[in-house]
Amino acid sequence: MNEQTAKKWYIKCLVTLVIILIFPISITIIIDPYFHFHKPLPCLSYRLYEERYINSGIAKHFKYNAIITGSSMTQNFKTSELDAFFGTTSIKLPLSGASYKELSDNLDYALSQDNDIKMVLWALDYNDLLKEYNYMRYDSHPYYLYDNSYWNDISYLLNKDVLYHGILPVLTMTLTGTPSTSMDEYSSFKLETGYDSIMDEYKRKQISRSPQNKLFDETNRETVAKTITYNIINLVNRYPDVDFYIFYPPYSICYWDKLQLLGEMEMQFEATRVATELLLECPNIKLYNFFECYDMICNLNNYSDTIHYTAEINSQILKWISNDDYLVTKDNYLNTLKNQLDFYKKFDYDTFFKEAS
Amino acid sequence: MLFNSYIFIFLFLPLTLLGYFTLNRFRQYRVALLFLVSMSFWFYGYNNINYLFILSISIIINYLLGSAMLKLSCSLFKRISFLFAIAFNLGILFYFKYYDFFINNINSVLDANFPILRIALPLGISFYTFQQVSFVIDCYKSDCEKYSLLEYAAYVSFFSQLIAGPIVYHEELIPQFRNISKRKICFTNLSKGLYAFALGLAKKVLLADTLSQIVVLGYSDINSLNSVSALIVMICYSLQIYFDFSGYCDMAYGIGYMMNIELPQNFNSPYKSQSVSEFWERWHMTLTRFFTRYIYIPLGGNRRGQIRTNINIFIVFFISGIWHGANWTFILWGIIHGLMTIISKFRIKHRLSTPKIFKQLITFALVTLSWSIFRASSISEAFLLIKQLFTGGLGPIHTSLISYFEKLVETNILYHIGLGSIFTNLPWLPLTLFIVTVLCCCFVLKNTQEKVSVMKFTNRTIISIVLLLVWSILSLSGISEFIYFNF
Repeated sequence: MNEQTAKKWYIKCLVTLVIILIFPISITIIIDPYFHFHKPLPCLSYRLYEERYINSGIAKHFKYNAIITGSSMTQNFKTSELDAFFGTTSIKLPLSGASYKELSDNLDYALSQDNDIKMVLWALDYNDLLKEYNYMRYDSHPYYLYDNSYWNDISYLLNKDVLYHGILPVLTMTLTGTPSTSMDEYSSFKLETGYDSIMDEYKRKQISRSPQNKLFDETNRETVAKTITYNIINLVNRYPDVDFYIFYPPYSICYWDKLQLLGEMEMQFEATRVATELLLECPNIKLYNFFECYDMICNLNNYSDTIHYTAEINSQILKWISNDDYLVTKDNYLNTLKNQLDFYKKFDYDTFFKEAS
Repeated sequence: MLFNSYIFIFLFLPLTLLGYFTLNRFRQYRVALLFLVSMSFWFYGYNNINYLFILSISIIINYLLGSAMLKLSCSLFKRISFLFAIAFNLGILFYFKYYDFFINNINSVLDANFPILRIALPLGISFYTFQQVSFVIDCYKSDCEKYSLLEYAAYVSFFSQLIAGPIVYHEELIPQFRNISKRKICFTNLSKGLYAFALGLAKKVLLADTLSQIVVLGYSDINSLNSVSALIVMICYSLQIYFDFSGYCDMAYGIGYMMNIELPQNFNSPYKSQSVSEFWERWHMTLTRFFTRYIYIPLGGNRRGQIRTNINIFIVFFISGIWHGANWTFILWGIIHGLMTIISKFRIKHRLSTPKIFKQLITFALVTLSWSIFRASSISEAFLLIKQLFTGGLGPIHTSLISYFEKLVETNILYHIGLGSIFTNLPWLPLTLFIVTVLCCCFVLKNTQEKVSVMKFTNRTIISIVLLLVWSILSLSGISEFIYFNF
């Protein structure tokens, strides 16, 4: 092979490669489906989707003074309802399946942006209280969207998934005249509810019943204390001007049934007590506990599985919080938890499920 | 740093080629070699700078001992230096790779509680340790030229072969560094190197990484796999390990080519083999030749009768099993391959005739079955998968395997171009088609070295290379779907 021909061929190959690669880079910068570089362009319709990828952009480029955050327990909240109750301009930053650490980091990122935040509504999933404080449920978090380095943005700019799941829907929605996803709709879901739907996932008969109650020991107490302190208390203390409305979401009666079968009911209440005591020490936290909404919790039509409730329950939670119903204070928390434990321990689960079937 | 990363493709590789050829252009040959060593150290220390310390110590000690052996005339001192060098290399390997495995076994046998170290295995330590073992053995046998420390460091640390081989001998690489005519930019080689790199990158990113997800899903829920799904998981792993390793070696080969350095071939279409013994002449060829040269032949090779030959083969595969990892699964895998190689040599010797395609399929089946042990985290897990293969029963492919495949962008695009209704009715079709196509490629297509050797400098080749590179680069970083819904 003639070296001169090879040189021409090689240069032609590289130039073609560079020109083709410039295309996805440019289109990603211009459309920016996850708002990494700029706010949404008014001429385009955006799909709010893929929480872990888009939350950073929402936090960076949207105007807001209140944040709703938490796991899937918060996905069906409507920011318009929160704004109506509290006079805020809110955004939703849910992270489905997130651990305490993931939620804390996500919220910290949003709070550190240049916005005058007044309020945070945060769902605290008590089924994760006994996990290590730095437990992460997902290890492929897109950190390149959350840091200030431009070097690693290449992962965003040359990414076929961003082209397909991010840019293509924006173009399709814009061309078909579909409006952008509203903040109320963002991340929301609607699933079948009721006994059959729940029992598809909740295999009650397969749970091996524990003959005795598991004990909450000193190690458990330290785990809970660390989880709450490192992920919530420290963050809350760094933002004293922000009011944190934290609530324990009302899981279904199936969740409590499972705890009873496994002999973990008292552990759960002890863990909740430790968490509650720590949270009540912060002056800018208002804590709500919905464990005693027994009618709602025992109505399986409100749930699609053991823990996930319908959007109507989210609306109800907002109403209760705006009225300070179920507010936990230093004076009432011990008594409240004791009564709730009594209820869930004495509840006749076998009869309940027999009748429900 | 990995070849299949943005930083390597867009920064490291262009910078290294530019710096290396520019310095050589100005006849700064030693500086160019120093630059190459520095870049290789950056490459190696990119993810963990502590690894550089281990690599540097290993290079310096081996170089000093090797040089001393070449100079020493007293055979006693020479022998002491040699034994020390071997002990040093195997000691490093034992400490980082086998210590915890050894202690765990001691603890379970003696019911003791000796502490384990939980040290992360430094990248490529098995490869560069073996290269250095070959160097000190050759120095001991005075079968080695005198090299400068810089040349030796460039040989051991050369980034293209540092992490995953091929296992190159000093006499293959250092003379190429010394050859001034190879220090000039050569567009023919650059082009061929780019072609090999593109093929290797595509094998790794587009095939191996996709297959890997199916394997992970399968191994995470073995109990629920029926026979069909277990078979798919096993075949996928067989394909994954081939495309992963050979893809990486193709990239190494391509990078070498770009720098006018020819690295030895490591894979020669291994799944076209008609026997297990042929498989080992085509799979990880530089490891096979290393064991042949430094273990099999010194043990007597095939010169001491059939029984001794078989014992020697068995020893080599037993050691090969240990080299591959610190787990009983690797040792069992090595033992099985030792036995299969002995049997296949017996079959060849007695000329038991079977049609070629059957021999290829039987070899592939045996190798695939043994890979399932290699991949398992424990022997019980391996046996569980094999049990599911034979007793899991027939039925549809496991939904998690199908649904992973359905979510790929490529499958989604096929849906949109009109295949949606077919795929909806036959959800197993995309995954099955993919596996069958990839499998056929292994049996039918030319390998990278064969393709590069007959490469034509046409527009068609440009389109192939650009397509493979763009598709692979766009696939380096995907969106991980967070499928966990119940929290």
